[in-house]
Amino acid sequence: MKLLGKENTTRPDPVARKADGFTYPRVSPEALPYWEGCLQNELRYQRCGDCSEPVFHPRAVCPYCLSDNLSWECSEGVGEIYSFSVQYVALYPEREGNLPRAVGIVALKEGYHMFTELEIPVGSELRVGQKVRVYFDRVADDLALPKFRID
Amino acid sequence: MSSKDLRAAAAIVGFGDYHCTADEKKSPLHVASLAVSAALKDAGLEKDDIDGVLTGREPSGDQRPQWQNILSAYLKITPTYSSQITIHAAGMNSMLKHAAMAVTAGVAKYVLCVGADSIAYLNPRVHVAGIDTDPEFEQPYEPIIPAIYAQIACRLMHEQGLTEKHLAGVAVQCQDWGIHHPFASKASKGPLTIEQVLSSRMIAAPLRLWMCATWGPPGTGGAVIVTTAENARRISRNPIYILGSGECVTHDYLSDRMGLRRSRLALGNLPSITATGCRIAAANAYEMAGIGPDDVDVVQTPSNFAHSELLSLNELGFASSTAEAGELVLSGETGPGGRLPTNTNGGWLSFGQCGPACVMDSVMETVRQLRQETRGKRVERPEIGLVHALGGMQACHSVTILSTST
Repeated sequence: MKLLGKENTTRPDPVARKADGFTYPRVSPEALPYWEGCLQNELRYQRCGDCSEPVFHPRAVCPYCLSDNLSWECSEGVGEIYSFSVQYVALYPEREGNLPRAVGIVALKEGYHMFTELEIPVGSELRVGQKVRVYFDRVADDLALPKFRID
Repeated sequence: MSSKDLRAAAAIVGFGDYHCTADEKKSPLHVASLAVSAALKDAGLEKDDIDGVLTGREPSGDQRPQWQNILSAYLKITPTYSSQITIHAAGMNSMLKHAAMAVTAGVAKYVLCVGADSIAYLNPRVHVAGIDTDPEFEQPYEPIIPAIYAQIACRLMHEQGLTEKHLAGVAVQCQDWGIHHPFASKASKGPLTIEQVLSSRMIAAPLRLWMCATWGPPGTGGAVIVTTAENARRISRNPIYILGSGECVTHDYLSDRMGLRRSRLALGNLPSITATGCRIAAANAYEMAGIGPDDVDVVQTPSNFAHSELLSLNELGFASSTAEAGELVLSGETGPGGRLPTNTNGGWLSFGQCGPACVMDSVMETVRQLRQETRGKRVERPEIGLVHALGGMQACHSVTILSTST
């Protein structure tokens, strides 16, 4: 299966790679089920079978109790905005047409947080604490990025 | 044995620095060499007296790892104690602690600590985002660094009542100092008002252009030579004693900090991005030095973004929230003539950030203030100077307390 711009995704790639119009994430073996889930419209995270903590970013061992008894679960994809910023400068000058964009940290209902892009609502403003829901932006055949919009 | 045994046990006996002018291009090794040469001359030492070499993180303008070795070989120095000290850029401040440990343990006699960079040859926007944001879970969203730091500002406004005016006040205070410094990157822009800051263009809300540090000066190098206090009194007329030092690391990438749900350290209500390791680093430094915030005469803090200075002033114990720190700044107390002179070379906001070497600029400015040899505005005879250095996305903190006496 082709995933994240690579035929053989078991080979780690230490850096993110800029592509035409988007950026491929670094490929880390622990996180492949997460990225595969995104392609299937599933927001996956791990849970520790020993201490019950939700684990994100994906790990080989639970960072809270060091157990390797981790299993994948599927988030409902709902949560609230913890923080955000509306960005008016593009990382790469050729992407300025996509501005302004909002990036932020979302607190998921299952008890973990993630960095993401937030859709800027028409006619209103983003606020800390607002309820949001995930959607998957299929930026390429082999990459879907989870993003959030007001629920 | 405790860290208090290190209190005033080591001292800086020589310093040297070099800053490039706006149109001057020199490599990091070039500016580092000029700083080293000046430090040796200031200390009255020969190159062969140096038996220890520490550098901070490799310069962004010369990304070879183990840069302390690159520099030693460049200058044909053959150290018997050597390492790169890096907790991101803040390691440059911690070099002083590591040097103090080495000389007091008898592992080295004279430790040369160097930080340098030259950004004349790279695109810092893409370069820094490539290092300081998570390559798997942040970079696909293509944030610029101000948008990462803005997450913290957004939360501080939500939790502590920080306002845009507080942020603007920091920019004005830094510029009030910076206009007096011949190498401050924004000096030529002249005096600044709150209104000018608040009408500058938005970069990553709530951060406007004047609330973000500029890249500059194009090259900067700083070097200090550390030896035991006993030896320092023998060879130097004006040693600067290392009274206290503390550091704390809480994360690497900012959004992964939200995965830190508990800690052995007093980091407030976790998870959070509004309480940093500065408070821990400062507590350790104050305890080692046997002093408190009221004893500090001059302060250098990070001000890569305006709220970074307010986070520092709060967590260093000069205020009880970032909003209160903001009021302190607006009152003029942190500016020229104020009770708590802060970022006296213009800080990273107005002096500029020359890659990680901006930390060395904070160290050098403190040494210059304590020795009354400033290039910019001078504080009236300070005896105790505090340097807070920040590395990464509020990830790494190092606090050093320096003094003219023991």
